[in-house]
Amino acid sequence: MCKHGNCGCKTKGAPPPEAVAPAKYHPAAEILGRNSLLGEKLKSDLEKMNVFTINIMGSAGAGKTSLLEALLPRLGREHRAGVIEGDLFTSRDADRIARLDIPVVQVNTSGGCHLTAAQVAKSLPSLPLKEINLLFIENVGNLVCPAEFSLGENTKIVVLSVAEGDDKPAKYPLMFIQADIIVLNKTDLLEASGFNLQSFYQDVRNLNGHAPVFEVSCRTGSGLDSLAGHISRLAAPVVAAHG
Amino acid sequence: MSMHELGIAQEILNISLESMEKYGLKELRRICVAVGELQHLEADCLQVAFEASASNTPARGALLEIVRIPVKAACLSCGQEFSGSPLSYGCPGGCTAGLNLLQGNELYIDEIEGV
Repeated sequence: MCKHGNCGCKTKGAPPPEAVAPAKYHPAAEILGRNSLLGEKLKSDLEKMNVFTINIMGSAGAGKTSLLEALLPRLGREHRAGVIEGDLFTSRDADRIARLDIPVVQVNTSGGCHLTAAQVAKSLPSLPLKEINLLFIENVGNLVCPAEFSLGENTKIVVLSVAEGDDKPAKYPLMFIQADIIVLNKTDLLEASGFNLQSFYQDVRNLNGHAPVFEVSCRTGSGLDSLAGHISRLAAPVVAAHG
Repeated sequence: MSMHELGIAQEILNISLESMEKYGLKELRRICVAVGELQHLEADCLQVAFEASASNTPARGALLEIVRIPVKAACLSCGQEFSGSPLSYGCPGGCTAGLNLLQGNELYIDEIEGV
């Protein structure tokens, strides 16, 4: 049956219709390939429109929306931001962003644990893409699967709050390996939560040598100017090109 | 059933159906999925999700086989290669300069078997 002999290999050509013995094939297919391809396309489309895209990930309750609320007013006037809010249910996060007079679209995944490139593609037409040069995508609160789904972003921010514990980087390594920026939020609760900074930094640096870590508190405002400055520098070429 | 495994199962089904057509298969017996240890996937959950997704398709009845691929990384400072459980990725040399992931993040269909 097999053109190489009897190894059962059938990587080329269809088997004859009378074949009965099971044959093995190697489609070499990435299971999330469809999402990755669409993510690549989104990235290229957004770059052509001079939009710098940031995917914000972190647990439910880490303070991703609070970070956006604190960050958006701190970005210079040259930044015209838009936001995609991902959540299982409700438009509460989008409502909070809309109060800042920032264009925002809410994506409800109805139980889905992460955003996909297809959901982002579908929500883009609801944003004034010609007017914005910075797109923040707030992912569904989850330290697991959002790490596996490209959304066409230029930069990934991972937000961890001290109340979650210092052991999270070691427990959710993929998220922290892939991070371009790590934000440690709620540092006003450092003492109350017993968060071990030394252990946290050791685990983070074991996984990721390049991502800067910003210690912030969205409640007190500490550390946020420095984070806003870093994002401004990253996005500067795109913002300048947008005019 | 977890939504996460359901999404993955549906992608596996899509690829399986395309492969069946490409290779002219009438019946799918087995799908071997390579899963890196860093992927958070539960095998039983994935099988249940796949069965539910495939029930009315030509791919129904296929058994999912998961092959786990261990994590392997190289230290970005001293270059030493090391492997480890998902809880201990530190460079054995004590460097804390981050790592270059060599394997352990895979998620692909390695082999399908059918007639």
